[in-house]
Amino acid sequence: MGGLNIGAYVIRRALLMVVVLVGTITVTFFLSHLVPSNPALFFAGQNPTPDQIQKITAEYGLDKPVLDQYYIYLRQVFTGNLGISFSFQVPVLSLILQGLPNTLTLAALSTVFALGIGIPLGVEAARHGGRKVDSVLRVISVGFVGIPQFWLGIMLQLFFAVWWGILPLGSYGGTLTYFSYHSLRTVTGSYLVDTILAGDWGGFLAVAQSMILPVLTLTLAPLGTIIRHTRASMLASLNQDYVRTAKAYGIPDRQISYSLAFRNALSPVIVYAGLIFAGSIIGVIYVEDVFNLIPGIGYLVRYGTGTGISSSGISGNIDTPLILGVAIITAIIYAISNFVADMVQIYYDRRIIK
Amino acid sequence: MKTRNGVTTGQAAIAVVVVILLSAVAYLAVMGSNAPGTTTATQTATQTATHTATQTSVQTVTATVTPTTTGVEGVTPQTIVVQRNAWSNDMDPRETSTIDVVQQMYETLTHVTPNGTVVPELATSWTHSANFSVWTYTLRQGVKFHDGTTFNSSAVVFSINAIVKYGGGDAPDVWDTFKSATASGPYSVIITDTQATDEPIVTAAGYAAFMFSPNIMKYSGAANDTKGLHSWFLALNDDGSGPYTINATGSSLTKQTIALEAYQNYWGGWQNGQVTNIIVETVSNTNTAVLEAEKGQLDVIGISGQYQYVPQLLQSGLQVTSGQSFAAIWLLFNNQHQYLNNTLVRRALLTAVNYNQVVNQAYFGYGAMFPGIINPGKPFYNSNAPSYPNAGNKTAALALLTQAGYPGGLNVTWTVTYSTGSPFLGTACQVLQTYWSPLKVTLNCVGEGFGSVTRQAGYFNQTTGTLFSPGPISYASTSSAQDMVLLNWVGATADPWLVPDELFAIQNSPYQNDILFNWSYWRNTTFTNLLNQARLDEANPTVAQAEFNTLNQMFYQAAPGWGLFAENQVWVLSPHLHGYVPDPYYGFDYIFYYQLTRS
Repeated sequence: MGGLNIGAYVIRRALLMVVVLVGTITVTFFLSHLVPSNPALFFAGQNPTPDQIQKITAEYGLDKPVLDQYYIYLRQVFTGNLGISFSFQVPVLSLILQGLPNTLTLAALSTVFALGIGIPLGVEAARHGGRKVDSVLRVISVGFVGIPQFWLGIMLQLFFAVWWGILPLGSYGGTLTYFSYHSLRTVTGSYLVDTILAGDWGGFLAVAQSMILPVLTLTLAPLGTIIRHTRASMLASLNQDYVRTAKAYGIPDRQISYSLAFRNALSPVIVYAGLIFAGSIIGVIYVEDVFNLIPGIGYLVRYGTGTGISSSGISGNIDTPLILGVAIITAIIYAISNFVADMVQIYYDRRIIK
Repeated sequence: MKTRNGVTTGQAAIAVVVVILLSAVAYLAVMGSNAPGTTTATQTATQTATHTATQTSVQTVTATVTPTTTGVEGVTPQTIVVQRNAWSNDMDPRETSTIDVVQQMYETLTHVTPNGTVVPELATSWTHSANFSVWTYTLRQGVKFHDGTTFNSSAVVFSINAIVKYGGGDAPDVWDTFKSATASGPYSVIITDTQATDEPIVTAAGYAAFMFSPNIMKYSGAANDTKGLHSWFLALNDDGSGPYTINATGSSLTKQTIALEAYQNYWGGWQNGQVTNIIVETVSNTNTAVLEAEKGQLDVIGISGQYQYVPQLLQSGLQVTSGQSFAAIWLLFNNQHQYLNNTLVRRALLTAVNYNQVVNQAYFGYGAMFPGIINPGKPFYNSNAPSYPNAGNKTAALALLTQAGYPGGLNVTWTVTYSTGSPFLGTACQVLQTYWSPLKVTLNCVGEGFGSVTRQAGYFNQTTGTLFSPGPISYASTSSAQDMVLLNWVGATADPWLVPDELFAIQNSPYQNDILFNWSYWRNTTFTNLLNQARLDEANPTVAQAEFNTLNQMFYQAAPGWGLFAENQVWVLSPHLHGYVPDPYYGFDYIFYYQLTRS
């Protein structure tokens, strides 16, 4: 055991990350090429002529065999070039880098709240297993998991922004033009973090306030899941022999729950936490649209899949480089999140590397 | 209490949170070096070796605009916030379809008023040769481009040649008869066409007919006037003569905002009350845009066919305007499929439809039925052209089927495709289902991405797998082709010839046996020839009108398809905005903000 095994485990997990990434690129690439689409529509106006199509098709190398295109793309990706977005006509990487910080901020906040609130509530539910507190928390957690985000976001807007008027409808800073009138130096690209770094507390409050409803929308479903997972895991721990022994020694219940049982119950929750963070990225895509949070990854996905282009009904045209780029970045986030979760898990329970 | 490893359980819980936070912060820190700033610019330089995409709009400081000053002396600033449902940084006046923004910054030689009259804009007058193929324009004096360059004949020649040479967007449609443009004096230009052309309509086109400074190459620093210049436009730059210019510091690709400000030397001048500053914000979710408008955060929104919001918008005190547009919903039958290759069957189907119901259900009444091949409002439109009954006539439809040899109905199932980009087409299809049911026709309404619709329609090269590459017309008779398609269609110019040519004519050589957008697959040589002749005769209105009337009659009799209704464009405006006049000649009635005043 010891360092060597941990090292081997870490290397194995890291290699697995690379396999996952290459797999994601491959599957996404070929799937995106199955969808009938042609970038000419992005460049050639509403009713492109055959000559225009031919010219643009050759220009973007789309007349090459798919396998050749795949090889070229793969080679580009490993040199950090995710291609040029058809719809924005700028490098995909720069678009993603502009949007990702805000998206990660939303995902991180929702994960923190889901864990910070969900774990203690899950522990309490388990401690009060079968009693009123447990029943109430079970109902709440099932409810949270069951509420569709697309409905929740609109309802929150309706109640808090339209009817009660106590929170903004959306947009970073609370109004569409907030950052048109409010100067902010970009350091990380995340409005929330940058206002802190700039010591711009007015800006920070405005941005934070505008993120309350989106974060709430994103948090409830994972919160319910965390409560349920923690409860189930804790119940299993509380039924272990060592807990009975601790009780026999007269150690207080609360201390047993939070010190002994909790540590052993934490392992599966940690794994799930990694998934929640990465999964939040998916939820953000919808939330950014409803709350008009720009820049973010959500808008890129919307445009990439062609759902943001509607004039004349010419839509559904896939921006393949953009979609591939977002898929790769999302896969990287998933892989890193899981990797981090695995590492934290090792810290708490080294048996898993046996 | 400590665990076996000396870690408290509280610390354990906190550790999980901290790890996640740290990973996020660490990533953000890494992003800091890559996100908006110098590193990104470097990446762009390497990545754009082949495509020369631009990155100049990435800023290290979030944009700010200064709405309190416009640069126009003696004029009180008036700022409005306008919604755009999809971001576009394509500000290239040579090819862009982002004309809702671009038409604020650029102008054309001529302009078409809502009633179809061509009036002077950058040209003050024009004359033509006897055969309508040579046009001489006298230009307006005292006009300056945003870079200070004087507008003159050199600018016109440069602009038109640059547009034609670049050949992007709708330029090939707009300038398809163009031969040459030459300066005949400092303020006089001769445009020569390959055939008789209604040139003032061409030079008034909403797309690909804008004038820009001939010094644009110098100011842009572009290496060439094709892609290099295109990149400069993509970076949210402009150099037109119009009333607004891009506020570079207020515009941001990152935030998807375009800020326009008044051009102080605009030849039309400025008056108090006029809109001087426009902030175009991307809000793609219509529900959110509606709520923002109700809260007064958006002064102008388009609701893209989602007219169910109209009552609540009116209730909120907002103005809901409805104006005629040249967009229409077209139903195209597959004239090569069984039953549908029978004229009487097609006419029976069109006779059975309640068009009132279609427009009310699919478009909440914001549209109008029209007869013939030409949208209402366009030149040579004839409201007396033959048409099918607006409310439908089931008895007459069944009689036609009987005449066709199918008494009692067809007992057939057909597939209707439509683009999900226009979801109301699905509703229109459902209405067709209802009214064709008595004819024993079952419809499968299939909504797909436009690419899929195009592929199924055969505008697709089976060998190379390239979409929008002409496919053989023989494909139309296969079972792979759809039975019918619903299209939301608008022509690049108001020329009445264009839409029927695209949708119903045999295509020009070398595509005469191919499928482009002619998805009715109708092969009527007489119709095609007469349509082309009518175009040639447009400069002679009496002759052209008679020819278009004949074409309307042929179209009605043969019924290869039909326009279900012409769409109205609906804008939602702040109650403080005044002066909007719908003009269908410009895209989907895109607003000229210079017209607007704010109270």
